[in-house]
Amino acid sequence: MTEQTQSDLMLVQAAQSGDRHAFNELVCRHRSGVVNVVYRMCGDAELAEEAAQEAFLRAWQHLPSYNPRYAFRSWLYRIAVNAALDVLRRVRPGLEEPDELPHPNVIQPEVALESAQRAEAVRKAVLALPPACRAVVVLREYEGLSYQEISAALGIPVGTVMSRLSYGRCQLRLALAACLEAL
Amino acid sequence: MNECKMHERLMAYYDGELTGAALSKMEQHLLSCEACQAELKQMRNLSSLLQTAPAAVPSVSRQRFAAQVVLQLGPQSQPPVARSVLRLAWKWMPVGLVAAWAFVQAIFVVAGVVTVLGDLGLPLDWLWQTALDLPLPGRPASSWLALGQGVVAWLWLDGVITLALGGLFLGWTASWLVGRRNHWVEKGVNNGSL
Repeated sequence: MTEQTQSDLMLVQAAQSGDRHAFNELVCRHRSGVVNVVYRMCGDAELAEEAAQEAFLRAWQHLPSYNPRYAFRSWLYRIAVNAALDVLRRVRPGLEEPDELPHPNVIQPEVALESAQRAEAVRKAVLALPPACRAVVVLREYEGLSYQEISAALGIPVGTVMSRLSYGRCQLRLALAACLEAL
Repeated sequence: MNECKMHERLMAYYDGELTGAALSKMEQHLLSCEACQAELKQMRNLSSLLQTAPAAVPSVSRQRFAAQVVLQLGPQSQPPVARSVLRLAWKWMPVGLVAAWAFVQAIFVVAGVVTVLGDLGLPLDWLWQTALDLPLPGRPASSWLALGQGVVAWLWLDGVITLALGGLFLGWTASWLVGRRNHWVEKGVNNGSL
């Protein structure tokens, strides 16, 4: 079996025994997912990178306690959500400053600007959700996790996943009503 | 506000969580319910809008990021002993259950054989007199009745024990299958997106 085709489980088992190369491969595999989750949770690219590193370090530390009966990705996302929330608690005062907007270097600057403003409105609307609700929305809308996977990732019942998702979508619809009408 | 009675299931339908009859029912319902159609469209629009917010653009390559993480790795925390023991016990539970069942069966078989040998008149008086006080040939008919009742009781007890062990075994198997399903889901995700 080549390195690419090794399943997460085999890599996790090796990493649980202290194999850093196996963990390196796991980080490569899950980096984009974890960075996206924490970025959507905290809305800041630099913080996201910091929180993602923190999440992987915690994952390594607690890897011996990981139960292979549950999906590794769900377990990792749970750590990522918590790391994002911890980073947010530390730096909350500076959070209101928006990230640098994407460069409007496409052919039509007005369209690019409008698109950037819409993206910023979405980012702010997601950030305005209560953290517990935001985590569910992010895992569903951006990572495409099923209710069951979200339930496992956040350690909450499926019914709670559904109610938080419903509430989150309702709030987003209200906050983004103007953008939705323009679609 | 959508007042339709199917409204509550609409979100699960949109998220691909409905299957079988529930899915067919919702699809049929959507053909005729304008309120749910409008709600579904709103959900799709919201998802499309959410996707317009770009993902984070990493400042370093995947390999470099992983290398940075690995450089900072400290010692791993050891799982509590109790948890390790429980995990080991759980892993070997089916073997234990089968062994327990085999042990119980062996006891019943040995007891049955000894009883039959006694009934055939073999010199096992010392066993009956010291341990079980079961009837021997030549004893009154009431003793045979007692033997029959004893056998029925044994069979009943054997059935109860087998059912209990079998239930535990099935529970463990179901749990193991759920775990494998999670593993397959994860494997599918990895093959598809990474």
